[in-house]
Amino acid sequence: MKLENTIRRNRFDKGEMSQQELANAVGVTKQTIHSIEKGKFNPSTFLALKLAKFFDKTVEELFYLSND
Amino acid sequence: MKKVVNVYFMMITAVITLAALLIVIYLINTFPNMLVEKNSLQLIPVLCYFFAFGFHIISVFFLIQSFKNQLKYRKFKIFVLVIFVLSVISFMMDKVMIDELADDMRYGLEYDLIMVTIPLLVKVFYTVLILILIFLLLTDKNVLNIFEKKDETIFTIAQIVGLISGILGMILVLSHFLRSLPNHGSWLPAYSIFFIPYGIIIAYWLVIKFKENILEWVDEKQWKDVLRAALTTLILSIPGLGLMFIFNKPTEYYWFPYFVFFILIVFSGSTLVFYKST
Repeated sequence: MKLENTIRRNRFDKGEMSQQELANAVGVTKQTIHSIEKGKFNPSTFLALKLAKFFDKTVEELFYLSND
Repeated sequence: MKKVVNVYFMMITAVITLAALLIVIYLINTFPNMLVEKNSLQLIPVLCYFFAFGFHIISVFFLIQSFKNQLKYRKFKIFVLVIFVLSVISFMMDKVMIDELADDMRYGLEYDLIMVTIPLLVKVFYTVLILILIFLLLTDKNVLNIFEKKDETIFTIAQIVGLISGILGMILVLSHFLRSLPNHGSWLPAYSIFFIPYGIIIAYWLVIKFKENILEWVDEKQWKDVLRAALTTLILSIPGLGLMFIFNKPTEYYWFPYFVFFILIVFSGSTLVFYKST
C-alpha cells in the first residue's frame, strides 16, 4: 500500500500556486512540498492537517491509500 | 536599480584590484628587497595590497548578497560557494604571510619570496572568479529574480560548504600522511582553517534562527534527513577510520583531523543526498 495525494492538483486549482508559495503558507521548505507531491515523503499528521486547512478540504480528500 | 549599481561598482573595483595585485607581484619579484629595505617604492605595494584587502572585504558582503538574492540557477549557487570558501582560505593565507614576514624582519632574515607570492596569486585567482561571477550576473536576464525560501538555501549551502571544506581538508591531511611528514601537532591549527567556512555558515544560520522555537529551526523533512545522515555517519565512521590503518604508516596526530574531516564529508554529503533525492 502506498500513500498518494492530490496536493499538486489542488495547488494548481488554487490559482496555479507554486510549490514555494504553498511551502511558505504551511511553514515548510519547497523541497518538502516537492517530496510530498512526488510521494517520496509522507507528511506528519500535523502537516497533513495544515495542508488540509489551507486548501479547505479534509485530510482524506488530500491523501489516500492505493494498492501498489 | 540598486543591485545593478552594486554590480557595476564591484566590477570596477575588481578590475582595479586585479591590476593592483599584478603590480605588487611584479614589484616584489623584480625588487625582492623592497619589503625589507627602506625604499621610496615601498609605499606602492603596501597601498595596492591594502586596496586589494579592502576589495576582498567588500566582496564577501557581495557574495552574501548574492546568496540572499536567491540566484535562480544551481550553477551560480555552487560557483558562489566555491568563491566563498576560497575567500576564507585567502584571508588565512594573508595572515600566515604577514606573520612570516614579521618574523623574518624581526630576526633580520631574508623573506621567502614564495611565502609572499602564493597568497597574492590566490588573491588574483579569487578576484578573477569574482569578475566571472559579475559577468554571469550581468548577462543573465533572470539572475536577479528574488523569491522567498524558508531557510532552504542556507540549509543546502551549509551542507555543500561542509562537503567542500571536508574534501579540501582531507586532501591536505592525506597529502601529509601519505608522505609521512613529521607531525608534532603543529599542523592541527592549519587543518582547522578548513572548518571556518562551515562555521561561518552555521553561525549565520544560528543568528537568523535564534529567535525562533528550536523545533522550528528545520522542518520535519529536514529533521528526518539529518537524522538519517547522522545514522549513516555513525555506521561509516568506524570503517572510515579503519581505512587509515591499511596504509601501514604511523598515524601520529593525523588520525584526529582525518577522522573529523571524514565525518564532515559523510554527514554533509549524506544530508545533501537524502534532502535532494527524497
